[in-house]
This record gives sequence, structure tokens and C-alpha cells, in this order.
Amino acid sequence: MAKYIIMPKLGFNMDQGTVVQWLKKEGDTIEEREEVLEIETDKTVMPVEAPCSGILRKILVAEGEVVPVTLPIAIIGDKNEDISQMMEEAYQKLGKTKVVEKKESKVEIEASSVIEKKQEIESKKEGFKKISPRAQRKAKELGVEVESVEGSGLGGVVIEKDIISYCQNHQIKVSPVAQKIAKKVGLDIGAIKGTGINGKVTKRDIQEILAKSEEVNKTEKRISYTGMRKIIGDRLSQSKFTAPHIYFTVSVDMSKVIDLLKRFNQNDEKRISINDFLVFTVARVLSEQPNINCSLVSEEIIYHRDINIGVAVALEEGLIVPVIKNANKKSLSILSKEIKKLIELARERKLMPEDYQGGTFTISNLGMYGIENFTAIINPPEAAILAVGVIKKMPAVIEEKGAEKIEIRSLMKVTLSVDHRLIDGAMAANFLKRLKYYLEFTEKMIL
Amino acid sequence: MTKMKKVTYAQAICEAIDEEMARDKNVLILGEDVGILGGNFKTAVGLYQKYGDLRVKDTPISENGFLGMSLGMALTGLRPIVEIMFSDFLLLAADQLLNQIAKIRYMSGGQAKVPLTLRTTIGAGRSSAAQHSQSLHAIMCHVPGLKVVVPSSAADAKGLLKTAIREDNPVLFIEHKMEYNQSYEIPEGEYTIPFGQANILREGKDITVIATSNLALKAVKAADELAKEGIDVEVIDPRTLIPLDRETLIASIKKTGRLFLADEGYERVNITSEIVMDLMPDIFYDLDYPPERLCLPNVPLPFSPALEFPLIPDQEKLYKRIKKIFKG
Repeated sequence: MAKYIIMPKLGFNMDQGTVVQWLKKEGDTIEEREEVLEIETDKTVMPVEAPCSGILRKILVAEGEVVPVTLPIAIIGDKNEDISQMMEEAYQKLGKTKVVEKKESKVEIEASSVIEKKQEIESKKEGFKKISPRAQRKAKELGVEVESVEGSGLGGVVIEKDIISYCQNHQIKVSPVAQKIAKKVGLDIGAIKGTGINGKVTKRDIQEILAKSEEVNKTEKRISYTGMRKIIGDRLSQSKFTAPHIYFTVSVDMSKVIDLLKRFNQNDEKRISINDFLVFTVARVLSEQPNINCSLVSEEIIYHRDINIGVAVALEEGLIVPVIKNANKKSLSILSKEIKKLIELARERKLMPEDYQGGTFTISNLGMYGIENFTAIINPPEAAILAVGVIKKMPAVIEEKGAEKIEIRSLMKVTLSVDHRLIDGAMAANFLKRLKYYLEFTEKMIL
Repeated sequence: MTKMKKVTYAQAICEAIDEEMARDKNVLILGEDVGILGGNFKTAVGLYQKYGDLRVKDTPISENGFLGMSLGMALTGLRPIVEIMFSDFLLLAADQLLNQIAKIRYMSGGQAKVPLTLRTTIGAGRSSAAQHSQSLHAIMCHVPGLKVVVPSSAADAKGLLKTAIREDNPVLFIEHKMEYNQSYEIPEGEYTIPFGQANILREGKDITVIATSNLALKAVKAADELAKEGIDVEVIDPRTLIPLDRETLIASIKKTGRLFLADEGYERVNITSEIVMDLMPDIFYDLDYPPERLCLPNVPLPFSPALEFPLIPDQEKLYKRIKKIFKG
């Protein structure tokens, strides 16, 4: 029996996914659980496994296409099996008109299918899945997760009949004892392959899994390389391996900034931090030097009019970069307030995608950890990132009225990483020169 | 088995009045042309000759006047059956009907009862134009104090009219003017039909159709056609709008999960709106689809038959609408 591979729903908020890459091609023989393709959600890139063994008969969705969750993306079946009916059904669900012989009408059909699909995605985006009140009640009664049920009512609304047939097709066979144990230790029965009659999950299956996990736990802890960890990894590898990085470091005398902030914060509870001031100053420099504020996107260099500065925030599970939009158009106090709010949201894991998307430049500050200087990997598709070190009191040679003397000054090292494809050394040096100038002569920013 | 006989709808109405007048000497009938002419729609043929001028009274064309007079009769112990030729004309007597008749029992603290039956007609299809074709029952349902009956078949009309005449509260009894000349089988002998009992005219499992007045009969014919398409329609005639038999309607909707309503009143503020809203707390979680309905479009009815008939809800329109729900 042929089966669909569907766009999986990987998280509560996932309503669509992009096919990134097919790891197999049509006609390939595939084992159950073998990885067939990679998909991308707004947070992560994940492999999709084959639901059964067989031959990859038909790829329904091309690389780069966006598909709502639970819709079919490929068909696995036997070599000579007739899958025409499944294909027709799948194309209907995907909003694609089935393959048409007439060449001249093809373009039109594709265009309309794109529009239809877009509408479908948009309508799905608008809110939760539409489900009739009657079906809602039935789903609750039977404990069915409505999100994964296909609707057959008006305009794809899930009706009672759909819930009942879903339930009949998806019942996981499990013995009562096994269910009880699994529930107690929080095991997902759906992921367990049963060894009982008709693949029923038995008490022994559960116990075996528990024993195995205990064994491994003794020597090491293993977690799968997925989710946020994998996104960070993939994005940074992509950046580091494709964008040729060059680095420029400069020492900045922060004494004036520290004095200024001291005065600002004297009677104000809403403290403005060094980092806030850095964002403010970088925004100013970027507005003067727009050639740093750019991206390379599919063979085109985009110079951004908006200056959106990302501020890297470390969380236990990884790094996230909330973005301060139009930073050059905001006053220091508003910037400070906004940055605090975003950092707070990030720590509470409440950032919305629009809060961390659309950045054009990033600042990563490890000064609070005492790091003197470091080089950062550019956050694609941006072209530059500023790594900020600790402010340290150091002896400095000062020139005053022709005489040189040694004074204690608060020095900070910043390192700019740039993508050499877009930014040359002189441009980067100019940027740092100007940044240093504004930080050391803060009053010049008023001009 | 009950023995049946063949009569017209008008004859069935006439029989009900005749039987009640014979049973109770306090029952009398008055209205425009109910006497010598035997009723504009032939619903009082022979009654003037049988019961005489005192109990079968022709009135002047003055609806508010003779309805007020009838209220006086009812308050003083008689059981008047008043005929107002078209529901359009109820508006002329609206003060008597809605401000007086509907309220006196309440305002007298139950001391005065109003055993009055007001018969009138609804329905388009006679080229009677915008002022003689309306179905204004929804307006009358708005004001508390009246019972409102909308029979479909002749058999129902007879049984319900007898109940109306015996009722101690005012009843608005609404006949469909296109039915009067239609032939129907009705049971021989005396019988009554209680208020608040909907009639399941046809059982089905796919969709519940609630249709008022003669649209209930048309819905049955449409359902028979739809059965050939594999659509199994349940048709329910509520028979009385006030009181409404909620239980029968709810039970049917719980079974089918789908609701369609039909009524010949204007669509806006149609009685079907009230029925759906009234049932909603009990049926919301039984619905797989939003309710739909077929009513008269919100326009004055034209005189020209070529323009009039396309507007009137009928068997074909019911068939098409319900089929569209299933087949798109």
C-alpha cells in the first residue's frame, strides 16, 4: 500500500514548512525511518523520515516550496503500484491542478495554483484550523488532536465525520499497562514500535526503552542535535563557510562615555547601559556609512534604508538576537527602554518572530564576562557584526599640549567582522574609526 | 386506520368553523365578506345561511374598528373568529391586535381572558402586488401575548383551527392564500391538533429542513427529488411559531448536524432568524455547518408575474439551494 509523506507539524506554532532539500530522488529505494528530505520552519531545519519502506514513487513538492502542515509532499509505494489516484488527491490538497498535457495553459495553471496556495497558507495563518462545533465536541470526547485532521466540510472545515475516520485510522494500539507506565514516565507512545500482536505496544517494549535510556545515562547524556541548537549551528556554519570573514580590532577610550552615563543615570531609575549607548552610536555611524548596512541575497547586494540592530542575548539553550528596528531614528532613552524590553522577552522565551527578524547589523557584547576581545561570526544575511569586549582600566599614553604622559583610562576593545564579498578593509576601518571618534568625543554626536 | 376524505383547504377551514359553531353557540364569525358572499376565499360557504346574521357578520372595511369590537365580544364571553383578508391589513388593526388584544390578559392580572381567533392570509403568487402579497407573521411574533399558528396542509389547518377557537388566549391563525383551492385528504370526523407540536413530515439523516406554512409541503416534494441525488432530507413543519416545539427541532438537528430553514416572509428579521437563535444554545455543538435559509428577498413584491415568481420561495428553489449545499 502506497503512503504519503506529509509535511510534519513540529511545533504548536508551526503552520507551514519549506522543503529545503530532497535527500532522495524519485525511484530510490527507502527504508522505514530513513531520512528522505529536509524541511525548514521559521526556527529550524529538520530531516523528515520515511513512514514506511518502499520506493520513493513521486515527489509532489519541489525544493524551496512552502507547504501547509499535514499536506502530502511525496508518495512512497511499491514498484508497480498505481498511485494515480493518490497523486490526484494530493495535487488537489496542495491546490495544484494535476499535470496538464497542454503546454500553453500550463503557465496559467501554475500561476493560479500559486495564488490559490498562497491564499490557503494565508487563511491558515489567520488563525486556528476551522473546525465545526460538532466536530470540536467529538474530538474532545475521543481525545483527538484536531490540528492533524484533514477537513472535508465546506472550505476544508473539519466536521464530525473527519474526526471519527481519523480516529479509526490513527488509533495506536497499546496495552493498558503499557499506557499507564508510559504516561507515568512521560513517554510518547506514538514513537514506540510495538512488538505485540499487530504491532501492539506492550509493557515489555516500554520497559526495554526505559532500561536502555538508563544505561546510556550512566556514562553520558545524549540529546539530539535539533531545534534551536541546530538552527544556530546551521546558520553559523553557512555564514562561516560561505562568507569570507575579515576582522578589525580597535581600542576605544570609554572614559567619556562612562562619565556621561554616570551623569545620565544619577537621578534616573531607568539606567542607560554602555550597551545601549553602543547601539545608539553604531546606529549613528551606520547612518553615515550605509555601505556597511547591507546584505547579499541571491546574487544581489541589498543596501538597507532601515537600520535594524540586533543585540545578541545568551540563553541556556542557545543564542538569540532580538532586533531594534530603525535604531537611528530613536532617542537614547527610547532605545534603552526597547532593548531592556526585548532582552526581557528573550529571557522569558516570549520573542515573536518579528522581534528577531529583519536585522541589518549585530552587536555581540561579552564584556560582562570579562572577555577582552573576540571575533564573532556574521549573522547572515547581514554583512557585519561588532564584537565588544570588557572595559578595563589601563595605563594609556596621553598627548596633551605636545607633552606625552601616562594616565589611567577605561579602555575597551571592539572587533568588527565583515563579509569581504561586500565590504573591503578600508570601509571597515573607516567604520571603526568613526565609531571610536564618537565614543571618545561623545559631544560630537550632537553636531 | 382513520378514514380519509378529499376536500379543499378552504373547505377544511370552513368545516372547522362550522363544527365549532355547532358545538358552542358562543362561537361566531365576522369579517369582510364572510357573510352573504361566503368569504373572499370561500372559507365560510353556507355558514350565513346556517347560523344567521347574528353569528355570521359582514363588517365594513375598517379593520381596527371590527377587531376592537371583537375584543369586546371576547372579553364579555363570546368566542369571535375574526377574518382579516390579508396579513398586510393587520397593520391597520395593529393597535387593537398588538397593544390591546395581546396585553389585556396580562394587564388585568389574569382576570379577563381573550378567547379570540384572528384568521388572516399570507403568501404571494396572485399578482396582488406589494400591498396584498406580504407574509407579515414575523412582525406579529415580535410582541408577546399572541399565539401564532402557521398550518401547512388542510388536515393540519382544520385540527389547529379548532384548537385555536377553543383556546382562551388570543390566537393569530395564518392561512396560506395559494392553498385554498388545493385538494387534500383529511381525516373524517372530528379531531383537534394541540399547539406546540411540530410535525416531522419526512424523516432523513443528512440535513434538517424547518419550513413554515405551505413551504413545509414544498420542502417534502423537494426532498423526494433530492433523495434521487442521494441526499436524505428530514423535513419538519413547526406548525405553531408560538409556542415553538423546540424539543422536536433540537432532536432532529442533533441527528443531522445540518440545518436549513425556509419561510415566505422577507429575509431580514425573518422568523427563521429567531428560530435559529432560540435553538442555538442547545444545538451549537451539534452543528457541522452554519445554518442556511431560503426566504423572500428584501424587496416589495412586484405585480408582474414574470417578476413576482422568481422571488417567491418554492419547491424548485428549495431543491437547488439544498442540493448546492451538498454538491457545491
